[in-house]
Amino acid sequence: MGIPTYKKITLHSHEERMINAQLKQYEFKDAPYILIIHHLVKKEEEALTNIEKYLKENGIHDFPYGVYIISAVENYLGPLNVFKDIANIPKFYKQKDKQLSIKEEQLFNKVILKQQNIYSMQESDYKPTLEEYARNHKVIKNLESELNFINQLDNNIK
Amino acid sequence: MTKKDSKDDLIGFQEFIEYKEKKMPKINKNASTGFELYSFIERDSQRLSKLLSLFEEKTFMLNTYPQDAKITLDLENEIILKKEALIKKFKNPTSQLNKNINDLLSNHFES
Repeated sequence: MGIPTYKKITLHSHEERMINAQLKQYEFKDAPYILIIHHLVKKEEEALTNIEKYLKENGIHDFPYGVYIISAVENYLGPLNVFKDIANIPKFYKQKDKQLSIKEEQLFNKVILKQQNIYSMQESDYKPTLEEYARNHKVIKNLESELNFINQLDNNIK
Repeated sequence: MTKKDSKDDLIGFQEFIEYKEKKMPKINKNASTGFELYSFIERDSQRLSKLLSLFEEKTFMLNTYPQDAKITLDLENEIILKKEALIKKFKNPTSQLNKNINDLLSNHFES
């Protein structure tokens, strides 16, 4: 198992069957992945939909490591991280894959343990709580802006 | 005053001055030599720890001691009180808003 640097996958086709077959070879849990689809001209949107579907069906999230798509599609509003160019993706994981020293290896073993710990967690244990927390905070945000508006009105009326 | 022998000053440094390149242990060129990789792994480890803390400890705390309902209730009550105070201000015959509305209506119907 290497350090978590970017792993590139160039998709061969936009078809669901082909995408599923190609992505099945990877586990997506030990490193961030870059899926390149910009060469699938005019079929990129279909490919994006099929990637979305595959990731959702197989429970692949943005943690512990994200999946980044390189595509020319503009104004994409879905759940995927779409970038036009590899230069635009987060620089944090752009590391050279070198042989680790003993000290680095000891630290990396801890990272592997944490990765496995995160991956073995049950989504049903934390997802509903975090979703409810986010929903409630939207309500609080709306109430807070209503209160601010009333206060502003109150201050401006003589 | 006695003059110090210049050789005395060199005690302890002679070895350093007469240093000749000795056989140094070979450095594995493939292994990383700087701290760049080490600090990268360290930062990633910290990132994963934070994720674990979010999914385990913080989620547990949110489930056990939820605060959203109390904050929402407090805000709703505050909004009701503020609205009541604002309406009282509007209804006051001496208020500027009331005067303006009166002027507007009376001008409109007179013409």
